[in-house]
Amino acid sequence: MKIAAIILCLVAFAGGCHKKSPEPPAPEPSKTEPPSPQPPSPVPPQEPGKTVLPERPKVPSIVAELEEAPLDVFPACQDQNCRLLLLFKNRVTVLNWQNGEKKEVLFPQSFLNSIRSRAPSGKILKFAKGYLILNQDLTNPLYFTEDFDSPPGAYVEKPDWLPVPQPGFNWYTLQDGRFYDFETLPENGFAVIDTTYSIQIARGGNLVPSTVRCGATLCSVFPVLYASSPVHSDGPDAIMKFRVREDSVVLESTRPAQGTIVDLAVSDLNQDGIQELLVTWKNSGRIAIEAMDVF
Amino acid sequence: MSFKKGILPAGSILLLIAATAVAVLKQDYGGNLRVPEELLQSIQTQQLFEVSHNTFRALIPFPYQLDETSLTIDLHTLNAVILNEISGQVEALQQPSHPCHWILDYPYFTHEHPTSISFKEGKLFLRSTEEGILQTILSSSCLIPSLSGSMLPFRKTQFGFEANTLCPSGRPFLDSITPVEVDPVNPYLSFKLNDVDLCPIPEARFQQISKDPDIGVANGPKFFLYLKTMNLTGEQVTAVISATNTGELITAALNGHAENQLPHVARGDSISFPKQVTFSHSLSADHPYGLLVKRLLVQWKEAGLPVSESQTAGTPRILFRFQAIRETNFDLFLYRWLREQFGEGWTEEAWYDALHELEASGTVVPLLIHSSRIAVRKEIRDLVIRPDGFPDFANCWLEK
Repeated sequence: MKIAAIILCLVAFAGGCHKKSPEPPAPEPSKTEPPSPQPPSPVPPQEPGKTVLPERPKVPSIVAELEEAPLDVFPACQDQNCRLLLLFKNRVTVLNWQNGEKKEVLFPQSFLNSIRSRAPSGKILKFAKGYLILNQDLTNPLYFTEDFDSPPGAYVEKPDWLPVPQPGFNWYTLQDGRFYDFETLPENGFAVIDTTYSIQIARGGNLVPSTVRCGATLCSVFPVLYASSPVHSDGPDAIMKFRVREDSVVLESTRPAQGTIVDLAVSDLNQDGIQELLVTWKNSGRIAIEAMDVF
Repeated sequence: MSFKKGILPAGSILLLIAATAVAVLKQDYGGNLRVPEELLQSIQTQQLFEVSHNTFRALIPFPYQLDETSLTIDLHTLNAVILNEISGQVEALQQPSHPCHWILDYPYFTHEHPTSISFKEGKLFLRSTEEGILQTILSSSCLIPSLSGSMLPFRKTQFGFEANTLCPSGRPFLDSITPVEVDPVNPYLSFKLNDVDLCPIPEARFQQISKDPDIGVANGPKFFLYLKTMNLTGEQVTAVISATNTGELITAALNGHAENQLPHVARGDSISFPKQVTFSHSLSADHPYGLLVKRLLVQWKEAGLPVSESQTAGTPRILFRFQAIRETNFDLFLYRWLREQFGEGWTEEAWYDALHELEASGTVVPLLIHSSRIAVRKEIRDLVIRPDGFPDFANCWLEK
């Protein structure tokens, strides 16, 4: 199977290869690691003499209404403060979900590929002290600093573990594997939705496929994976919850969505220790990011 | 009598058969589509603009920039650009790096509507004092066959069409399109034999074909159906119109897929039919409009019109005609149709007057606008039908 090549790659680059960066990365909390859903991160105990933390803002059910469907939504949390990074074909929007303030960062023309994709996919990855942007319309992955204030840099020395967005198409490739979405997992694991809409887990030298077909959007709170359902946009979409076991990926439950699922992400937006499932959906007339309880 | 205007939207509205830009299942790339030649007539044209409700929208990337303050359309973004509230004048600058040829074939160059279109030093200037007129001009310039080939989604080859990987909007999902000849009488047979992936649906077999679980039904090309009369007086034309029941034709022969265009006439006490009238058409025995013509003859005979299909010299004549509507705007269609059918004896400025005269004299009697249907194989996803009724294959894909 083609995805098997990914395992070889991951094994070859075991030892935190996805922490490579254009500059030697400074030590930082394991932000590149997917957050663990269970148990929720405990709130640090108050030290004597410190003031009590202010009450965390409530996360509304509809976190944001959008005018255009993003390619990817990435919750970027730093110092008890989370913003949403929205990736579009030609830009990244940094959205303050609490007050709706936006900062648009356009990709410079010189970074755009001469071969365009009609339906590009996109991915934002936490990388060192910033973010990597992958998109089929870019010549190379773009590296942005955390504050998005500095001009981006083209990340030309791509590490072998990093998927390549295939110019002109809507998938990523890694070795000879081809997939629509991917997530990194703990212990150098890697999960993808391949172009047959099957989840494939490469982890610990094993390749575990799912027997249940899903859609093209994936997010992970290991050992749980959430995916969209295998329907066309004229059908009712749903969130599929899979659990990764030693030698299998099992569908545990599904939950209906209000529209076509554009993106799935898990975050703790208000940093209250309780995670939310961020579902970006689109239906006739509305594009929204909805916060749901993880299930 | 008057032609009904505005049947086709001046602002071009694309009709989506299924799905939108966001697909839960991603679009598959590759595959070849086999399409009857008659449905491929617009493949080498590209719609450039969408104009509706004073909103100008570029549908493909343009090397121009937008400046709303000076009302200059100058687009160079990669995404669609929306300009609201076009008014006064619009100046579109043509960039030498992307030459394109503009069709300036539009009838509204009249004194009442002081619209001017001119080329100066490679630049196109559009000026109008009326927004509506300007909209129509822009939308009529939408389909530009001579647009630089490198911008179109498909390139013509000796075998058909192949995907243009350098199309500025992105390569299409299909690899290629092969033109196929289908039996015009029974295109459905070609469909069932798996020789073709789309086919026109003859109205006579619509009820049967539309129930086929393997197909989806989409809107197809539009046709203007009309009568030409010769040697009939105005009263006699009125009598013929009174004897024509287009509602029954639409129901019985076109499955409701048509809009009535027959002028309304007041039914008088006495009907002045001619003594004898010859009816002719150029349809083959198994033509899709054969049933409609038969119903028309039955209606006339039941009303007492002495109609015969054998031609006798000197008798008044009625001819059944139809014409495909390939324009995004019905006025533009009428203008071109008039020029083609009755080209002599009128000037560009007076084209609309000439049309009214033909209607008033009864020389032309508009009947219907027939919106045909096409059968689309279920595996074809996201097929878009353009305002001219032809499929746009740029965004469609084959589900594997």
